[in-house]
Amino acid sequence: MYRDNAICIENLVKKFGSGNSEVTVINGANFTLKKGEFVGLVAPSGSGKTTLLMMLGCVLEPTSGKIVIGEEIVYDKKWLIKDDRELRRKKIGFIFQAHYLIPFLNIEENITLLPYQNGESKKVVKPRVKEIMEYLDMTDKMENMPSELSGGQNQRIAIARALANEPSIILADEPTAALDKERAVSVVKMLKKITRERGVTIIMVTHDDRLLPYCDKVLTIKDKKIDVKENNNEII
Amino acid sequence: MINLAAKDIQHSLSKFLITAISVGVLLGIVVVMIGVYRGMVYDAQVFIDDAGADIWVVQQDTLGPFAQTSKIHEDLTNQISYQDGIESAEGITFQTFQMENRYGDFKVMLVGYDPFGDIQVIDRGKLIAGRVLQKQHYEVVVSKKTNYKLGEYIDMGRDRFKVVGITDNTVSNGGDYLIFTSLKDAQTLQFTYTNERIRSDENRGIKGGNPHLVNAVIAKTKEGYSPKIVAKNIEETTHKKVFTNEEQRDLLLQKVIKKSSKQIGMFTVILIVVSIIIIALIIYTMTLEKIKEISILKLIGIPNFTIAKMIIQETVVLGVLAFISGNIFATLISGSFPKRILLIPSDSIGLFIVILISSIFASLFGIYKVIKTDPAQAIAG
Repeated sequence: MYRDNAICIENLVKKFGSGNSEVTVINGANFTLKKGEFVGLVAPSGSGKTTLLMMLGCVLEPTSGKIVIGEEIVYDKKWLIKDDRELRRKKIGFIFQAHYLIPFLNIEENITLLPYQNGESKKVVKPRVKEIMEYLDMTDKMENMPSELSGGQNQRIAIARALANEPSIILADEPTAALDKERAVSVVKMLKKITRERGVTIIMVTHDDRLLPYCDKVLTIKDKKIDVKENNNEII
Repeated sequence: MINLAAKDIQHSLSKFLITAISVGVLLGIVVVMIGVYRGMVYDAQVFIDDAGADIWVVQQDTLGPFAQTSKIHEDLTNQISYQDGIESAEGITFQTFQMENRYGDFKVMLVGYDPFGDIQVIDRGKLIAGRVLQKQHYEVVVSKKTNYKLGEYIDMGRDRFKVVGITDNTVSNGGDYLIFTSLKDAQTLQFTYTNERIRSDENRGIKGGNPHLVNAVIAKTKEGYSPKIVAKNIEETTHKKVFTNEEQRDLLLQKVIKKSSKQIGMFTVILIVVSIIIIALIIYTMTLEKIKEISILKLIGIPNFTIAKMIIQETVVLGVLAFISGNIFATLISGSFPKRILLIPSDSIGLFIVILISSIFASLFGIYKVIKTDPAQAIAG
């Protein structure tokens, strides 16, 4: 039923507080994203973009509804997974507005942390990380500490970290917000390329309308619902 | 698998080392406090070990000569010498003395003994210069820490004494340096009054004082005799209080230094508790400083166990480094104290185990914080 889908949500609701102070952020959202799609998520500030990402990342529990990641139903009125962190570690990658690399680990350690935690051997991880770093043109930075790299370089390392555990989904919360337009476009192009070449589905929160043409789909949160639009003017 | 604790320590090595050394100084103070207690117990036994007596005869109904004042007649020595099971007996006096020389003022305990008697109270192994007393008058053997030199003269009472020997490691039960004179000189110093006092006493109808007193008679028993039985026999026939050497040792430890050791013990316990609280706060603060990184680790899927392991490993490394630096600090400063600080490795190791176990428990606060940290906090503000 969910074979070609990366993410499917049905009647997803998220409310904060209770009684008089109850606030509904998402009210009955429905959408399905296919494997390898590059999806933009736009909405005004405070309308629930990060809340939606956190629910998809199994970090924040919805109030009701259903979340399916790949073919696994992870939430159906309650969490159906035993270990949310194992799911994130194995299936989901995160990219944030800031790079949020671990400052006491060097670049290679930041990238290999998750695969090693997943029990993968050096033999498997090393070539994969090398390939990712070549792909991102960062092979010479493996031994550096995050504090020694520029913002743009660190953001590329954050992308490498998100790719290192070979996730099926990458949730990117305004990954270009801290970058100038030229670098932002470069990062978005890279993300798009990743979806095409690696079959990863990426949901990217952005406030920058100029980046939307690169997306296959655009999700818009409007009146607590999610509107899904196909993007026909694909730029690549 | 990447060792997060090792990486974190390596990243902020100087800060970590300074923290560990600071905790180490605190632990060093605890080690020194334990050393003060050990030194006190050791000092309490130095003289009775050196004297090597089997029996202590003191004034009736007293716990003399250390726990209570005791005065008995010197001629009792002869009476005791002839008791069944006694090999030899000697009178002995003790007197605390405030002295002053060019190095400062200090308190000593003056021990008077018969230089030609059968029981010699100076342990020759502790004589580091000169000789023991060989005259009945005006010679003194001093402790090295008094800083007197061989051949130097010391004025005590109305007489002048020549330093003929220097000992090391000889102290009274109170930790004061020991000096030795002949019994006759010591009796003069302790029991002979000044002319003014004698005249004053005579005006009051009091006849001149008796200088032929001693504070205790120490005796050695013959081979095959039980000191306990011999002591009981002497007590029954002389109307004096008689202690075996072991009873005298117990008196010193249980009565004389009991309160002081309790005081130090309490202080040590408080210091240990304070150290544990400080270590707990340091571990907790170290965890709080990393809370952003911890929430990122949780968000990307690192399990609590891995993060908790990092905190415990850092706690253990902190404890080990603090233990090492604490012991170095304690060893460096222990020589500067006026009284003996006895550092025993087993005490340090015991303290290390207590601190380590307590620190690991203390790190539970940090681990609790880790468990409670919301991964979503990683992307908040």
